[in-house]
Amino acid sequence: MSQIFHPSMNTISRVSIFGALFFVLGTLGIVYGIFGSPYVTQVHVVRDQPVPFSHEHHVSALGLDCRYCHTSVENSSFAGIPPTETCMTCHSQIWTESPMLEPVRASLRNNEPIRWNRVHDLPDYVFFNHGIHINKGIGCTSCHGRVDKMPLMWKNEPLTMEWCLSCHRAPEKHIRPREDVFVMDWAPPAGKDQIALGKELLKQYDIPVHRLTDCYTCHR
Amino acid sequence: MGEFHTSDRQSPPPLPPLPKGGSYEGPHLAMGVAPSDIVRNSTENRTRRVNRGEPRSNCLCRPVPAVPRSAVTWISCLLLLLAGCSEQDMVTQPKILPYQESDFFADGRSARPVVPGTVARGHLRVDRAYYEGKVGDELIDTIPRKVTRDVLERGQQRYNIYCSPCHDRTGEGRGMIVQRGFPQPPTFHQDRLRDAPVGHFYNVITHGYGAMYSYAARVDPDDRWAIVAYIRALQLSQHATLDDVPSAKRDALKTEGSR
Ligand code: HEC
Ligand code: HEC
Ligand code: HEC
Ligand code: HEC
Ligand code: HEC
Ligand code: HEC
Repeated sequence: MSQIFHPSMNTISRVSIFGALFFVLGTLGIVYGIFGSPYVTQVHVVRDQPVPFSHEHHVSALGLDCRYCHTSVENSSFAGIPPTETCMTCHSQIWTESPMLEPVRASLRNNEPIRWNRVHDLPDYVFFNHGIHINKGIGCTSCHGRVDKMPLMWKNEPLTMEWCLSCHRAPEKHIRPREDVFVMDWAPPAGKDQIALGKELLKQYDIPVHRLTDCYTCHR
Repeated sequence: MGEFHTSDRQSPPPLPPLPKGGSYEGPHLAMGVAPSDIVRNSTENRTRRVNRGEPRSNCLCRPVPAVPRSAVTWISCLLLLLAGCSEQDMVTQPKILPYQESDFFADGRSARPVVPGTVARGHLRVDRAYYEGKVGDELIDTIPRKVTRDVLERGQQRYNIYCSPCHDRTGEGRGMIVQRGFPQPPTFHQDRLRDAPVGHFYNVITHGYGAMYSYAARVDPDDRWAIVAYIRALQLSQHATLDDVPSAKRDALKTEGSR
């Protein structure tokens, strides 16, 4: 009986086996790429807002502290979005004619909240709390980036589980003294490197690193 | 108010006893209701499930005595896979998170104003001196809490956050916002304000003053008194002489110069 497969089939089958392998890996790679891309994670994507509020202006140029507006960030799960009245502490007197601020004035007149569009929004099944992070020395910039350089707010990190875990596994890479949490351009003091400082602070603040990666920390 | 469904945030309560009849989803599904029903559960059902504060898996993992165990396991696994299709349920759960819009109330606000005539827990505030800075109609002139170094430091921090944009860090009244056109506040170092009772400062923070808005919503009474204490310290500092400095620190001050 003659051979069914010509010897050249050996090569073809090898190529197709490898080809299939590459194809599968390639597809996985592409899918991974898509899910990590700004298209899905919305990182660095600016949202339309009713008022083009600029953190750059209010934080860098005017030197306002985050807590002037995000009042509850230190002791609550929610950082708080400022009510209209907070804007009016200043804009009742300055830039009172600015058309950009019309929605703010209208909101006060009609006693209707301004509808800010959320930039950061975790799924409801994730438990997150600002207070604990602020009190254990995680700076705003570790999660939100250089807010003081954002003319309009964007998301600086993907807020995926992978991202949360990358810090929960090794918080010493990010931790800083509590009183510097609100400093935008913080860097470890000269002559000290972050890891050494971080390890010290982990002890000092009594941070239970071993259970920070347990599922129930974030899903409860 | 913000902590609405606190039960969701804590560990789930112990499992309720298995229901006998069919109203409970778990066993029902395991016995072969069309899977699409899980995906399109009515809101009513979902709300109930959330209110019970139980993750869905609790229901699925419970074997139903009449059906063979392995079948339950398999079906449960399939259902778990299907659960992926109803992701929307979990991502946007029928509970209200802080500031979230709600279609339950006409004005769309989920955070509700206090009902007139009621007092929230911990807000009874009968101590007039502490909460209004007054005894009778008289402004008080002693701070009604113990002023320690911690309190002063807290006051300094809060002052720098909430007051310094206009009053600047020394209290002269030339803060950044004033430089951008806001009416200039009076300096704290004039005689009128040096002689003003502490109750006056407390009331200015609480109720605002002229062009200045109230800061009551952002600065709680404890912090208001801390700020008042710090303003007093600022006032002293601007009229201090070298004799007020502890002798041990005088030399340091001299070498540091005027900073
Ligand atoms: C003058 C008031 C003000 C100050 C000061 C301020 N913010 Fe904001 N912030 C806002 C307003 C209003 C919004 C909502 C509009 C927007 O998203 O741009 C906001 C939004 C944000 C958001 C995004 C919220 C979302 O939708 O997910 C972050 C993060 C944030 N601020 C961080 C900071 C940090 C960090 C600081 C301090 C460096 C700061 N803010 C200081 C007013 C302020
Ligand atoms: C502490 C004072 C202060 C507060 C609070 C404040 N602003 Fe401003 N804002 C300013 C000043 C001062 C300017 C002008 C900036 C400059 O001169 O560089 C400004 C400018 C602006 C502008 C640009 C106006 C234009 O026509 O160019 C917008 C928009 C604005 N603010 C929105 C807001 C909103 C929204 C809030 C409330 C979340 C807010 N501001 C709270 C002080 C404040
Ligand atoms: C550990 C990371 C982390 C740190 C540190 C952090 N944030 Fe956030 N922030 C988040 C996440 C995650 C969200 C989205 C929360 C959600 O969707 O429930 C968020 C949301 C916000 C919002 C929108 C309102 C809200 O609470 O959902 C504001 C405003 C904000 N952050 C301000 C701040 C400020 C100001 C600081 C510094 C004092 C800060 N954040 C520090 C992770 C962080
Ligand atoms: C830059 C570092 C960092 C990032 C990013 C971060 N965390 Fe954390 N997280 C910490 C530290 C440090 C603690 C403090 C742990 C303690 O002392 O209990 C903490 C604590 C927590 C806690 C409280 C744990 C407990 O049981 O007390 C929760 C919940 C939490 N993080 C959720 C999240 C979520 C969700 C994300 C992602 C959206 C996130 N964190 C991102 C550093 C981080
Ligand atoms: C540090 C916080 C944190 C911890 C710890 C954590 N998760 Fe998550 N998890 C998240 C966040 C944040 C998301 C949402 C990610 C997103 O929106 O892309 C998430 C999403 C998920 C999802 C849904 C994924 C999807 O794509 O829909 C599952 C399933 C999950 N986590 C399981 C687990 C398990 C199992 C563990 C324990 C091994 C765990 N998580 C531990 C923060 C955490
Ligand atoms: C947005 C700018 C602004 C901020 C922020 C501000 N103030 Fe004022 N303050 C003023 C102005 C303007 C006046 C003068 C009001 C007038 O006479 O119409 C004033 C007046 C005062 C006075 C003097 C009242 C009198 O008898 O003359 C005191 C005391 C005072 N402020 C305390 C504070 C404290 C404490 C804070 C912080 C919690 C604060 N202010 C924050 C603008 C501000």
